Amino acid sequence: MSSFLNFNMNKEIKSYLLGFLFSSLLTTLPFLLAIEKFFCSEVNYIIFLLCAISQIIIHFVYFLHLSFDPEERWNLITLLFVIIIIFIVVFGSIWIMFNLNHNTM
Amino acid sequence: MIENKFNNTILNSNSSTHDKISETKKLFGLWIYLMSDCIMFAVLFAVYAIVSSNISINLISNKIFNLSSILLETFLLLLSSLSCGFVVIAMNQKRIKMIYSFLTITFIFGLIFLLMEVHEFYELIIENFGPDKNAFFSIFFTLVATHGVHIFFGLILILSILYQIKKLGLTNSIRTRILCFSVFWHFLDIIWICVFTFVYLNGAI
Repeated sequence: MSSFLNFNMNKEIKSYLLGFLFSSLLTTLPFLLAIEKFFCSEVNYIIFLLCAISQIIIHFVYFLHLSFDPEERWNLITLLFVIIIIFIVVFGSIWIMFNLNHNTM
Repeated sequence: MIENKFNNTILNSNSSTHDKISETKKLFGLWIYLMSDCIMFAVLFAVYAIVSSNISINLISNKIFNLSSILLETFLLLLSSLSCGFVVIAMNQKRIKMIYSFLTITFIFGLIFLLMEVHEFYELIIENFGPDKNAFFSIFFTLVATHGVHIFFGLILILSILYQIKKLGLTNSIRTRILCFSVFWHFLDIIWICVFTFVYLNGAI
């Protein structure tokens, strides 16, 4: 029992350390790119976006321990719902303001 | 006598399952709150994106964002998130000293982060880039300061948890509070990822 418990603890610690490792890598990479300016700004922008999204997913998996367990299903459902709402709010307002810039002149 | 004992154990197991249920309910309530917080931040980000795409580029000089200090702030927040995870592990092992030390580490990293942010704001205001300068700086200050205020309340939460552990020991309600705090703190880290990607890095290129 105690060895099982230890194993469990080690697994948790490993999950946090892995999450920390991945997210520090994904943090350093975009900052390096921004300071050194290796690529043009469009390529940089896409890389930043990909790094941010993957880091957010890593945080959800390794730090917040989101999973497809039936116990935690509602957490996931609310998260998906909020992602949809955020998408509508952000892209909707950017789209509307873009059209306003073009059509009110 | 035996029956009495039996009843007691049933009562105990009932109360422990009751605690478990109330704990998951509280955590779910916190989760709902955090999701609605997400929507608030999303609105702020939308306003930021609109304002920064419509402002002429020479108003925002690249020099106002000091990227190396932002990188340091990011790592401070990441380290505090890591030690916050260790608090939960220590709580599951019921090691009160470890909980104390990791909570203190989390608090110190969070405090340094907040002080660096305040210092950055102070320098911007000194250089006449205050929130009343133009729309860009208004939304910049609003967005970053909203995150800072959340961090501030998290720090207050750490202090109250430390005080309560000292006063009451590691009771069930305090365990729930520590779990809630860890979810809150990891969530703030996720918001900070969006802040440094969309505000600082995009402003710098």
